[in-house]
Amino acid sequence: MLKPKTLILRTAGTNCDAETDAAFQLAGAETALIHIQNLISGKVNLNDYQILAIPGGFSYGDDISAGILLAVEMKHKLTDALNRFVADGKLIIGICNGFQVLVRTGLLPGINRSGSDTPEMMQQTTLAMNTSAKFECRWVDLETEKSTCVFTKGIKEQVYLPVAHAEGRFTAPPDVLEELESNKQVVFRYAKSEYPHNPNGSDVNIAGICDPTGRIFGLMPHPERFLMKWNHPRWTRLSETERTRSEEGDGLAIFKNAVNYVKSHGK
Amino acid sequence: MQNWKVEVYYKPEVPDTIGQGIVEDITDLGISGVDSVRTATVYWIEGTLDAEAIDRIGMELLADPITQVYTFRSQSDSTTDWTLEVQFKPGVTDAVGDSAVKGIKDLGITGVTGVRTGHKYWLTGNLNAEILETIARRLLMNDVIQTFSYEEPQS
Repeated sequence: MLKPKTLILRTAGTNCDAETDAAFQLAGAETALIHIQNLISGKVNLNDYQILAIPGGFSYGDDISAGILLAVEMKHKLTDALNRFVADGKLIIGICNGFQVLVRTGLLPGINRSGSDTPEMMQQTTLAMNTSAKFECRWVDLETEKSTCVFTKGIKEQVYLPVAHAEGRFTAPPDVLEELESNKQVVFRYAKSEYPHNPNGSDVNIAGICDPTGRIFGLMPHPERFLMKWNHPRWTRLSETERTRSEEGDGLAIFKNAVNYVKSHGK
Repeated sequence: MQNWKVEVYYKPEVPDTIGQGIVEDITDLGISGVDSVRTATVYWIEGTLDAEAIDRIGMELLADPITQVYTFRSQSDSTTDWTLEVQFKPGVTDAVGDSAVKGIKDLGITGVTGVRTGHKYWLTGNLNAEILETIARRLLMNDVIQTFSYEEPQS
């Protein structure tokens, strides 16, 4: 099969697009960096692609609150294209600012309460200001949950990735949290609940979630910043066994899973 | 043409981490006796918009539905706290205000001509006008581009 086509969405303030592009290319995808205006104008058709990636950054300066302006723009200017993309069973990943966007559009966690086929686009959870009230930039240990997420199928139980955000405290009403657990929508948790291991004070240490189908995935840590072993902050100081174990960084498997999913499902 | 003032602040059960940080910063200034600070972001929306449109703007754009609430009707602040408001001087570029205009237009709402933003603080503790002015000038504003106003507690 041809390489799966991945659209990496850009707008004012996006700044992790090059790394996300590299990640999908290393994973075997064909990629295109597309500005949102080209989707709104119709110059580029979202549905010519199989994977949509919303990268990290500070879209529209994180004005009002992180991700809200891009979320409003996507909800109201790309409604039909997005609905079709989701209904066709295609994949969406939102990293950091992209996760904030997906949460504010309501695509995540996307718990369907109306029984309708199209996504409800109602915000059910949020990523609030970190409890430390400041920007947190550090590497964190993550635990992979047994979830429905197609991006994390078969990956390691313990993953090491960096976070870099000010608004990453995942919080939701108790009934939504319960539903996330029972639907197996919690994908990653910070390995320990104390600060700074849980860098933002997230409820039940949640670092990443997926929608009920497992095809829409959002996470605060940056898997695109750990693609090869040399990205590890202490790679020169790791033991010989750890250093020679794999050329791959922990993050790459997430992008490979996406590419393999598309290849095997022919979306 | 009608101007609306929308205030966005945290629900009572959600910690206002920015406000808590300001309490510590006030202590660092050498001022003791401030017990608590709560914060709000203020949006002055100009144009021909009705209450229904402003309500949508508050709900879908300005306030986070999980952690925040908003008010927009003109109401007098009958509060036992000191209130302090910081806003840009006329002519100073307000980037967040300009972004809010974009967001409002994306919602499909017409008639907005401009948005200006500012911050509001509710303070409790052993305060007087002089202390409040010190806190404003040394911590919460930049005199080159901003102005402030305050109100004493209503008894």
